[in-house]
Order: sequence, then C-alpha cells, then structure tokens
Amino acid sequence: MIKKMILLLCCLILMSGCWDSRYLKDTQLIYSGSFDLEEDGQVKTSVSIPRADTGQDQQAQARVVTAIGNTVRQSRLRIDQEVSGRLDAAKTRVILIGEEAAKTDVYSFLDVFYRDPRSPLNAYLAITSGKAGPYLEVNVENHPLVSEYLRDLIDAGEQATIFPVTNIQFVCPILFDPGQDVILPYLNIKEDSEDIHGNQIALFNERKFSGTLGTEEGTMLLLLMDKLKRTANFTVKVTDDKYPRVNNFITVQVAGIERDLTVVEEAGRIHADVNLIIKVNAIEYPEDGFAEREITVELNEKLGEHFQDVANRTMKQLQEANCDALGIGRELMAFQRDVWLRNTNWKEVYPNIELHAHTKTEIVKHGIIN
Amino acid sequence: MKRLTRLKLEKGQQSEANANSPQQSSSKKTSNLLIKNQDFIENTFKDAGDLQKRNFKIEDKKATLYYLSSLTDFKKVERMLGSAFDSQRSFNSMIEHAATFVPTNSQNKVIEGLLEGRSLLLIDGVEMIYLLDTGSIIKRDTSEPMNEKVVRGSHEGFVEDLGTNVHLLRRRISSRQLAIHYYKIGTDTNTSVCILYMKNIANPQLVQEITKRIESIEMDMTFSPGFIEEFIEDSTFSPFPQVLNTERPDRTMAAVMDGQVAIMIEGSPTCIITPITFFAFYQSPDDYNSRFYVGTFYRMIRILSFLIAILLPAIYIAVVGFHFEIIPNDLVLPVKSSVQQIPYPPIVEAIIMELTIELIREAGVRLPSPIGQTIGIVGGLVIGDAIVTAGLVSNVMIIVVALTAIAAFVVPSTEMNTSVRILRFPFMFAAATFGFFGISFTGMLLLIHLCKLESFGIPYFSPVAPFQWKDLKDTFLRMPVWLMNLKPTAYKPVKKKQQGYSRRWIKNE
Amino acid sequence: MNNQNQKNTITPSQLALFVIQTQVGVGVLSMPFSVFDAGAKTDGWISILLAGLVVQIIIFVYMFISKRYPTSNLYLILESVFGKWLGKFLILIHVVYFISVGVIILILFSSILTVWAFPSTPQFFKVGIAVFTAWYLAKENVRVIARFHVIVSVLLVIVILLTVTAFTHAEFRYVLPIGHTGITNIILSAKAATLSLLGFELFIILFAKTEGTLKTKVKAATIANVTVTLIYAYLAFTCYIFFSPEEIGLVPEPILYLIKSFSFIVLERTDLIFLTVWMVSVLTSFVGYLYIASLGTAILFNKTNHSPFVWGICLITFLFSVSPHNVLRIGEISELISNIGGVFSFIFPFVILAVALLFKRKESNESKTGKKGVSST
Repeated sequence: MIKKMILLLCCLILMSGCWDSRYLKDTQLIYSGSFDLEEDGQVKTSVSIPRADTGQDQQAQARVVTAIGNTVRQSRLRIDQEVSGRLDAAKTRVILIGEEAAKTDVYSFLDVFYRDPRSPLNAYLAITSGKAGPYLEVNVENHPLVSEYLRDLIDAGEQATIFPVTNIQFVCPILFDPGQDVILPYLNIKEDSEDIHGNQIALFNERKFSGTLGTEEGTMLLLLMDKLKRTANFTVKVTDDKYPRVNNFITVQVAGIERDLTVVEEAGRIHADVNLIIKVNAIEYPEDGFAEREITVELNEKLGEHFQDVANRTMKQLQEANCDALGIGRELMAFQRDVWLRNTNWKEVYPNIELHAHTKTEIVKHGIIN
Repeated sequence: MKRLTRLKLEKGQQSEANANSPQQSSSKKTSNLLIKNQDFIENTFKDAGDLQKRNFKIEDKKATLYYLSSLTDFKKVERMLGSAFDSQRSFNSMIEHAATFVPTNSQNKVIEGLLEGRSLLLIDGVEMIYLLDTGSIIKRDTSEPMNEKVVRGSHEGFVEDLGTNVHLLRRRISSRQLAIHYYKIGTDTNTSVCILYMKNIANPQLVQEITKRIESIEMDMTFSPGFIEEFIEDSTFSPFPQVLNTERPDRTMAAVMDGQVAIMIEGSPTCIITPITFFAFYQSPDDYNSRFYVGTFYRMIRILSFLIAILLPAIYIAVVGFHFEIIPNDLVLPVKSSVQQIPYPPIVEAIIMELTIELIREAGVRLPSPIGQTIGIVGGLVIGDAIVTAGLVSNVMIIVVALTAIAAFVVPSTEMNTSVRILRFPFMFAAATFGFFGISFTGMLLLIHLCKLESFGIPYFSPVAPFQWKDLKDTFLRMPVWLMNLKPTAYKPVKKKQQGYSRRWIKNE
Repeated sequence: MNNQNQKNTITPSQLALFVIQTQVGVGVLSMPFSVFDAGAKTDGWISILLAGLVVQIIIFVYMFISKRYPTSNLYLILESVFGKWLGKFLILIHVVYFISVGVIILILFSSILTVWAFPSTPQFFKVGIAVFTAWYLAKENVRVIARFHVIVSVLLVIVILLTVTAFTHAEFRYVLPIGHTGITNIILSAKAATLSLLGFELFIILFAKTEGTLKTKVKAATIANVTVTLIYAYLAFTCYIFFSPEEIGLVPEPILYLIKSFSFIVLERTDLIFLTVWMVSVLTSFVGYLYIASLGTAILFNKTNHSPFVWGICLITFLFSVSPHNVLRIGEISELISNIGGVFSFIFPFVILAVALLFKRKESNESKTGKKGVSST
C-alpha cells in the first residue's frame, strides 16, 4: 500500500506539467478579433494581441496580426504561424464582424466559437460599418489597448440602453429561433475623426445583416423590447421660438417603462401592438416651470408625440429590414400556436403584418428644482 | 522478518525478566534484621553513587536512614526526624501516627520509594521499613504556555511535575466524579502516567479502550507525550493528529467535562486529550471569552484558513498552468506579465517558494528570538524581494505563498499546523499534473480519508461526517453559551445535558 | 457482533442522500438534451416529473417487498424468492448489470472531460485516478460511504446556484405553450427521463441497512425521489428557457454550455468550476454502483464482507473502460445498458413482489429453514 503510494507520488512528480498544461507565460492572448470577407469569398481575420512583457510603469501595447483563409479556423491557424508562442482566444473580449461579412451569414463566422470548449462565449459581438480590420488598429488616447476601449465602449452603450445586452452565446438561441431576430451593436468610424463611434444598432434578417437603426430609434427599440438597462436618454425639441436655442430642448432620462405586447389575428392579418408607458425624469430644461401643472401636461404631450413618432419610425425600419427583433413570431408560437402553424413562412409574412407601437409619456421627476 | 525480530525481542525481554526475577521472588518481603535489609538495599543500588547512609540509634535500637542525595531535600529529612525526636511521646507511637511515615514490608515498594526521592528508615528488629516523604521537587511556575497564549482567560499552564498538574485540574473540577488513574510506563524509567476523566460523563467503553491501549504499552522508557500518542492512536499513517496536545489546564478541564479523557505524563507539561475531532483543533479558549459574533467570525476565518492553506498554491498552479481562462479579463494581463519571464513551470516556482518559507520557519523556530527575527527579516523581506527582481519567482506566486504561510499558522494547534503545511504538497503536485481534475480528486481522497478516520471509535470529522446539525452550533459557529444546552454528541457522553435554562430571569421580569 | 451491526447501519437521512448522490451523476449534464431529444421537446421537464412519479410507484413496490423481508437486501430476497440456483443466477445478472453501469459511467466521464477540458490527458489516467479514488471509498463499510455522500451533497447546492444565473437571460416564451408536443410525446420521453433517474434501485439494497421503521425509510426514499426529480426538472426547465428549441438540439451538454456563457467579477469560465464539482457527483454515483456490485459478489460467494471484492470489480471496470471504443459505440452501449437498466429497475420489482405474493414467500420461512441465519428483529 505504502509502496504503491510512493510510486504514485514519484510518477506525479516526474510527470508534472504534462499533457494538458498550457502555461500562461507561453501563450499569446487574443484580446479582440475581427472577420472580414475578401472579394473571392475568403475570410480575413485580424487579431489584436497585447504585449505582456511591458512592466507596470510602461503603457501596454498591442500588435495586430492578419491572415486570410478559406475558413475562420484556417485563417486563425495561419495567424498562429506568424506569432511566437501559442495563440489562445480564450480571453477575447470583442469580436467585430465587417458589414460585408455580416451580410452573408453571421453564424458561419461564429461556429468556431460555439464548437470550441475554451472559446469566450461571453465576448462582446459587434458589426462594423465597412471593414472590421481597421477598427483594431485605431489609436485611442488614454486607452492603449483598443480591445479594452472597444469593450468599454460597448459596455457603456449597453448601460445607456443604446446597445442590446449581448454576447456570443446570447445571440445563439435567437439565431436559431425562427420567430426572433438578432440585433447587435453597430460601430462606425466618422470620416472627419479617428474615433470609433458606437451609437447604432445592426438589424438582422435571420442570420443576415439587413439594416441599421439610429441612436434614438435604437434606444426606442430596446424600450419596446422591454430591455431598459440603467439609463436611457432622449433630447427632444419641444418649442421653436425660444432664445437661446438651447431653451427649446428638454433632455429626459427614462426612469421606468411598462410594456405590453399583444398579438392577435384579425381577418387573416396579424396585428401586433406594443403599448409602452415611458416614465421620464427631466434632467435638463432651462425654461423651468414644472411647478405649473399645465406646463407639465404640455411637455408630457409634446414628449409623447415625439416618442410616438420615433416608435413609428422604428417599427417601419424594422419591417423594412425584415427584422423580427420584438419576437412577434415567438409570441405567436407561445400563445397562438395555430396562427403560427398557418404562417410558417414567417419571413414573408412579417414585413406585411400590422406592427404598431402606442406610447404614453409621463414626466415623473424633474430633479431638485422645479 | 518482522516476526523474527519481534520474537527475538520477546525472548530478550523474557531473559531479562528471568534475570531479575530470582532476586525479586526470593526476597519479596523485608526482613526484621537490620543487616539483611541493609544488604538488600546496598546490593540493589550497588552502582548508585548518590545513595547516602546514616546510622544512628533510636531509643537504643539501631537505625539506618537511606536516601538518594540527588532526589532528597535535606531540610525535610531534618525536620521530619527532628519533629519525631523532639516529641515527648514514645517514638513508636509517634511513628505509627505520623502521616509522613509510611510503613511497608514490600521490597519492590521500598525500591520504588527510594527512586521517587523518599528516605528509608530502617530500624533493627522491626520488619517494616518506613518511607519518609522527603522528595525534593524542582519546578517552575505554572506560567502561561508560550505556544498557547490567549488574550483573556486563565494564564496558567501545566508544568513538568505531574503532581502539580493533577493539582491544577483537581482545583478546577471539584467533583467526586473525577477519576484519576495512575500507571507506570517504561520498564526502566518508571514514568508515571495518569489518565483523568469524569466518571459520570465519559463513555465507559471509551475509557476502557483507552486504558487497554495504555496498559499494553511495553517499552523501557517514555520520552515524551509523542510516544504515548503514537502507541495509542488508531492510524499512525494519517497526516492528521488524532490527539490534542495542550498545556492549558482550562482547555483540559473543558475537554474532560465534554467526556474526553486526559492523559498526563510525568516530566512533560503537555497533556494529551483524546478522542478528538478535527474541528476541535480549530477552537481556541479565546473564542469563549469574546462576544459570540466575534468568536463565530474568527472561527470561520480559521476554517477558511484551512482551505486556503491546503488549496491556494494548488489552485494557483492549476490556473496558471492549465485553466487561465478563469482569471477575470482585467486581471489576466497583470498576471501574465508577472509570470512572463519566469523560466520554469509554476510547480517548480511554487516548490522553491514553499521550501524557502519552510526553511525560514524551521531556522527561526528554535533560535533565540532576536536571531529568529533577523532570520525572518532576511528570509522574508530580502529573499522575497530579490527573488522577484531576479526573475526566479513571479510576484503573484510570492503573494500566494505568503498568504498560504500565514493561513497555515492561523491554526491554534501546532500539530494541526504542521499537518496542514505538509498536506498542500500533494495538492500542488496533483494540480501541476492534472489541473482542476487533480485538485478535485485529491480533495476527494482527503475528504474520504477524513470520513474514514476514527479515533477510539469516535468519527474524526464529526459533526460534519456524520452530519450532526445540533453540534454545528459549536463548530463553525460559536453560539451564545446559554444556547448550548447539550454536550457535543461526538464523544458519546453518558450525561448529555450540560446546563438548564440559565436565563430564567428573563421571564421573571 | 452487536458492535459490528451497529457499524453497518445508516440513518434514514443518510439513506436519502446516498441515493440522491448515486442518481445524480454523469447523466445530469446531458439529461435536458436527452429528454428533449426523445420527443418531448421543451416539455421535457413534464416528462421528468412524470418519471419521478413512476419511480415513486417503484418505491412503494419496494416497500411491500421490504415488508415481507425487513432485514434482507435485494440479493438475499432474490435468493429466497427464486430459490438458490435461480436466485444466484439473478444475483449474477444484477452484478454484471451494475458493473456495466459503472463502466458506462467511467467512459462517459472521461469522454466529457476529454471534450470539455482535458483533451490530451490519457484516458488511462483519467479513469485510473477515478477508479483509485472510488476504490479507496467503496471498500469501507456503508456508514463511511454514507458519511462522504452526505458531505458532498453540499455541492448540489452549488450546482443549483450556478445555474440560477441563467434566469437573468431567460426567455420564458420558449417553453410556452406548455404541453404543445402532445401527451404521447411527453409520455414517451418519460422513458428517457426515467433512465436519467436510475440509481434508485439502491433503496431495496440499503433498506435493510437503514435504522428505523419501514415508514421512516419509505419517507426518506420519497424525500430523496422528490428532491432528485425536482432538481432534474429545474435543471431541464432552466435549459429550455435559456436555449431556443432549435439550439438545444445542437448542444449535448446544455447545462455546462449554459454556465459557460456567464462570468462573474472574480471568476470566468464557471463551467470549469462546475466540471470540478461535477466530478465529485460522478465519483459518488460510481461508488454507489461499485458498492452494490461488490455486495452482490460477496453474497454470491456467501461472504458477508464486501471489501475484498471491491478490488476485483475496480480492476474489471477499469480495464473495460480504457479498452478502445469510439463515440458511436459508446452511444450504442450506453443505450443498451440503460434499456436493460429499465428492465431491472422497473419490471423486476413487480416480478419479485408477484412471485413473493404468489408463493407466499416470507423472510420468516427463510430463517426457519435456517439458511442464512438472518435474524428478524
């Protein structure tokens, strides 16, 4: 017994560090990656790898490596050949997919992540306007690592209800669901500046990128989906004649929403109605006067008009992009299965259904002055 | 092979016994002739240079006083003889009534008495030999033991003298139920060993078992409590100590009152308490002297420290060597840059650091405290800093090792402390070979071992295995004393109740 | 003798946790998938509840059997009901079945580890270490095993806590409308669900070793069954609301996958933590089967102590599970064995009870003929 134990112990000591060990010091960590489609249909993958040997005082640096391959995995294996040490994607924070690539089939680029047990399923996913590769090479001041910058950008967007809360895994059930469509953050680089802007939402028709929503509409969509995060801000023009111009506007913050989605079939047509009550805090209104009831009522009305307007635009754009982000199809499946079974060609039915939003707005707080 | 040597040993012992026996058996009783008795004593102690002999006369009878000068207090001899001679009454009646004059006619007792420091008074024509209790005792104060200090509570500690120790305990438990049994262990050294327990609390089967094991010890000397421990414990190959060593009378008393048995040995201030459970090692008398929140909190910290001490280096090795994915995103780059330049695998790094810490400890522990501190500073600060700068060990490793070392020293008991420090090495090797898989299975082996381990039939890991909900009150937690009405069931006490409702006064108000 | 008996009994709560730990094992990771795949789709959790009901019926059958044989375990009952030779043969079949379940557990265990975390560690070691650890525990008496199983039950709580995070991203519409797959599908899938509940046959083996009246034993068994059924139904439900019905068909170990997509501030890749905890569950269920298999072998050889046989059985399971095999064959074998398991666990109790009732076999008759010397207390 004891001899056996000793033998076992010897084996353990001698074989220490075999088989599955992957030393952190020998790996090159991918912090962010991007996928683009070449003209001939090949995949171009870029990855950003931070340099770890910089001391604490120095600023961290990253290098970007690019390779082209027939598949995502092949291109990554080719990157591995260019990089010293073992390439590891387990700590990837952001995956960017270029517009062109996303227009084909976004799942094809993600399959490699779903299949690998070590892949970062909690990495952020975003679509970029134009090629995604250049986004990794942007130099951002105060943010030496573009990967961390992108992550913080998307995170801040999520908190402000500009982007949907998502990661690689969260989109997967929706990609497979015939009654729902994915929405993802959409990043772009303004022509006049070097900075990356993240304020739009990419709409998908099944697995294909099919359109974008602006900031206001995007936030409204998330509200209509009942996905309010920490804050959501709107600046609305309520008058035209005030001086200075600033006084014409009110900035409100959404404090709470009540949403109700009803889907009914009437006379062969599917009616989907979203009732949304938005409760807002006024966080800036130089004209003041919340003490008077009339002014508040008037503002409520004006805000309500505006929001209704935005909501209508949002719904229209959704149907144009054939993106069922609200999950109307899923709603039918869950509550009116017979209707769903009659409309299995959902993607053809959806653009023509009666999709309407009805908003009501209330100012509930106005800061510490009237 | 083993059996052969054992046989030989047995034979040797037998022959020894045979050599001794004729002398003993032929003259079991003392004679009433002074000369014969003198001969017997002088022959027995032929080579004892410190045997002293005084001849004098008592009421015209020849008398001789023998004593071992090394063990005898001369003043006591003077006083005793003086008080006997000064009295006006007849010497015989004096001797008969004096409590300090113990008559005996057994030669064995005479020899034993002499060896214990008594003086022998031989009187011509009297068969009895009188033993005078004149032993000199050199003892130190019952000062607080260095390695079991408490902030508040009793500051008394056991000393090397068995009598004093029993006295300390007797004074704390003034009960007629306190049983004290003396044994002699060591065929040559004749060391006194005594076991103490409460007759109405301790489980009789348990006491019987302990007595049996102590009686079966056969050895020519008893050097330290460690000997007794290894002779009586159930599994010697377990890494866990199965008896509790303490130098504190209050702790001993509490244990005895819980139905445990205390074993004390002449010449050692350490008292062995058995049977014991794992969690008893994580209790300190201090817990009961502070508020119960505080006591509970520190008890939890101690149990957490056990986990840290055995698992932390292993987890670090597994994470850095196998599963770095579980490091949070923002931490992975600092950790990576810290291990980047280390030339060898994490296990080697960990072993270097762990061995360094053990070296520092072992070097410092037996040195006088000023030098010990210097070692600590040189070892801890200088080596710690230099080894990182030199790029031999990463600074995260230093943090891990330092935390582990501190966590290992949190255990109030030295024995458990050493066990814990040894236990982390198998975990480290398992982690280096199999990652989390190795840690999981080593942990299970350890847990299985703890479940199997029994000390004197008492499950070692009680009250967790077997699970005793009620006993958790005094294991992980330290509930207010008035809530603990029953004694812990682990030691199977005969008397289960500990107290009634001591806060009756609440109702009366 | 009295002392010996005392050491070989367990309390009713230990019985409950012992069986729970044996039931929850290697199958828990894939259970939501297999029930889904069997046809119940997102109504799989109802199938699991139904399966729990079926198991409860079996427990009552056990109760009736146990009433006639209060101090005998399954093997002794078999011998006494079917006579010596047929009984021995049936014991042998049971033992072989339990051993093959052990082999399947080990194969699935190492293949999941290979896929999820340790692709290149040799199977020899993965299985070897598991078998060694199991041997170390299974050779002890039932009381020690029960103690261990009770402690590690804490880990079940961790499993549940880890999966709670899924509710932050749940889509309840995936499981609606409840029951849309139809009664037949749900009932058919209940078969797959009962297979994931296998392990409850331990009750009839451990009843004799449990202290207390038959009523408390059955109560403990019922509590165990309800707990396991609810845990399984909960896990399945969680998976069904997290994955869309179309995705879950692609994910054979949905629970791990679900946990993998969440990260905490101090930890990422929680699935690795989960896997570490799950290994303990696998080991406990393996030990459960190892114990009953060795107990059966001991009775086959008319011995009372099972420890010497654990060695041999460990060796057999080890050799079989490291022998070369591929994914398809594993699937085939595991399906075969779970089907056999269905027969053993669901049909056998009825047969035993029927024969015992028909021939009016009872334990007291047995001791009169003075064979095993089982004393009725």
